[in-house]
Amino acid sequence: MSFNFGNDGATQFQGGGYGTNTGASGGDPSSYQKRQQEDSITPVTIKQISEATASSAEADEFALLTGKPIGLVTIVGKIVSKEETGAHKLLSVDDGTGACCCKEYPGEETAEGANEVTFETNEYVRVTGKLKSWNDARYIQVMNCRKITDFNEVAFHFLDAMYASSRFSNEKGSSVAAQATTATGAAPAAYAMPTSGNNPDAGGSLQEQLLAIYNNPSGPAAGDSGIEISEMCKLLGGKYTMDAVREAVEMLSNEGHVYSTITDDHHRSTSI
Amino acid sequence: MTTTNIDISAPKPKVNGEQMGLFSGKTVQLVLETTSNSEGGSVLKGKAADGMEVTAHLDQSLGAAPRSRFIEVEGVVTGPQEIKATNVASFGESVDLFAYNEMCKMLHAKGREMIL
Repeated sequence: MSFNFGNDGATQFQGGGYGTNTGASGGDPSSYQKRQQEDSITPVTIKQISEATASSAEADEFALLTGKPIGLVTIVGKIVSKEETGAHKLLSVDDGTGACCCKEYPGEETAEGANEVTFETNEYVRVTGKLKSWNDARYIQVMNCRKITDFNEVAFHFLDAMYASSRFSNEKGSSVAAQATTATGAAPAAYAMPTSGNNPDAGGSLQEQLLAIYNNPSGPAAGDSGIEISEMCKLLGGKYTMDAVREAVEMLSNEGHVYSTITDDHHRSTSI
Repeated sequence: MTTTNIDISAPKPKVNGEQMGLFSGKTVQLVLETTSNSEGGSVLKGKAADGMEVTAHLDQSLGAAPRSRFIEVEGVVTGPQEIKATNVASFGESVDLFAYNEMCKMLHAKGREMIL
């Protein structure tokens, strides 16, 4: 039995997808952000969408376990079964992490028989669509389904899914750090010291304490010539010997965190 | 019958030759670059993504294995470098096995929670 889906991705993605900037000017930034989330296509595995949490049952809004809200998703897998009913077409796609039902309601083009592609079981496909739930059962409402002809796309998809997942985790981490620094009135840089003054008692290793002072944009080390090592010893409350401080500063210099300025004993941060 | 739900009860992780050993008795997906297709098509030999030689025993019910250069074998790991295939599918004529191998390694390290 043959099975058909429309395969005109370019037209189906009009008005959405990557890089859509409509609404950026003059619109409400939060609604723009929300729309961007809805428009973006997240590469995922079926296990990820199975574990996604429903943030709003009525509106079919989901978020991955990492907290990333998902609008459209894309999966790559093999067709394990297919079925056609009067109202829609069903494909069960297995990507090795699980099997997911993909449902397509035929559009005008498929109804007219244009751009139809036949799919067979055991064939690799890429499915892009919206994650939906009905009666506690989740499925993907297909926007685009196409055969995979270059099988490097299989490896690419899984690497892409891992990258998307880690990128969101990293973004979340840095935004939390940025919020913390903004809240305490210091520089917005993620690596800046979270207080406005020098706080050598903040704890951490000698290197961390030194970095905190060097990286404070409103501190004594922020001038053009930086700060001298003997001055740094005083700021640290005399807890460390001059040699220990010099050794730690040299290490920071070797790692590129600070550079020497007017003399070999003066150093300034590379980050401010 | 196509069910309208997601089923993650029977994962079939994508593996390279070395990772097969971690899934003894379990079902996996393995991409092979075929080197021989003998015994009436019931035994398939090939190199996994990491270059390891693997023998796949095909059930008669599966019919003839695809003739493509790369084949994806789905089946139960029966021993070191041996798999009993429950499904075989063509995986094309040109696949970057280095990239596929790196993908397998990453999936079973930092991407493990995404697949198992």
